[in-house]
Amino acid sequence: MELQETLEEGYVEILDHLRKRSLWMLHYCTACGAIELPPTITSRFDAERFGIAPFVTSRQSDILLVTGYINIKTLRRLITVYEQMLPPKYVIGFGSCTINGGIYWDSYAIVKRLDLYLPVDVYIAGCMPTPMAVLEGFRTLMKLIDEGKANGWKKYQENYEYYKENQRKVLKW
Amino acid sequence: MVEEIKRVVIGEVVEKRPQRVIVKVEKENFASTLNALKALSFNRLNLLTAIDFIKENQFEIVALVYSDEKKVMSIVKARIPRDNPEIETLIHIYPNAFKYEVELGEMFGIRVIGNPDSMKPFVLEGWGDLPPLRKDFDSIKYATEHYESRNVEVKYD
Repeated sequence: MELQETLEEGYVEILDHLRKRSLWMLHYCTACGAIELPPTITSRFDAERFGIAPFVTSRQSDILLVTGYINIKTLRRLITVYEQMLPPKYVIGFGSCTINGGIYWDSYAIVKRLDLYLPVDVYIAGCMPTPMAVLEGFRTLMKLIDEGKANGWKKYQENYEYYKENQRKVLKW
Repeated sequence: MVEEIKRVVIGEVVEKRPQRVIVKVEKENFASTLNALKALSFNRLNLLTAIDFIKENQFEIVALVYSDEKKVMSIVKARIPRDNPEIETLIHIYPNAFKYEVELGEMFGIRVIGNPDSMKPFVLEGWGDLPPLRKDFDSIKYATEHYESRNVEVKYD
């Protein structure tokens, strides 16, 4: 039994090590932050040298990059998209709007903190974050995956009721 | 162009500067004015919105129409009372007024007679408060009550 557990742990470690070099990022551009992605992905900064490629369907993606502010209409779709993704899945909050509301702190429609509704693994601060900052965020996520610390999707499963309650408060489901 | 507009419009016509004509009409004549302007080659509705004059207890409905042929923008304005506001639909004149009218209902609470989607939620799903673009709606209060903020003290060196 112990041997099997050790083998399983080792297997997960190897998988994590391999997985960090092949992350597919969902093209779900919620807000103005999406404008930083074309230079990040294309030839000048070339995120694909880290194994990060944009992808169009949620079921085959690993990263949900939330680019910018989330209003209540977007949040509902974002949660649907996140729940469609297969684990392991990672969420990156992009820009200061996802951290504390940013310049939309007094808006009637913008939720201020993303981590109340979805488990965020890495935040990229800035308004706007430059492509270098985005790549730095990706590198941080890769490091966390390698160390086995990017467990946001497990947290979402374990604290499902907590997240659902927060979502219900805002969306009035 | 101003003379031509004056001939078909019941209301005040001012040429503010070249290619900008302001037309102020009564609310009953709003749709018919736009209909007449469309016949005068104003083929494009650029904007339909409202302005909240809370001290005068009135909304001002503003429509921007543009003529591709004459290169003139005409700004049509009409005042309606702020209590139980209603306007007539423009979708039979300018079909792209449809979403603008839905927005009027959602953001100002102005009912549009003749628009099937008027007062239905479009952007603000599950909204149960005052329409947010009215002047008496307190956005900061609403945001602090409904959306939790991060309590972090920022220290500057």
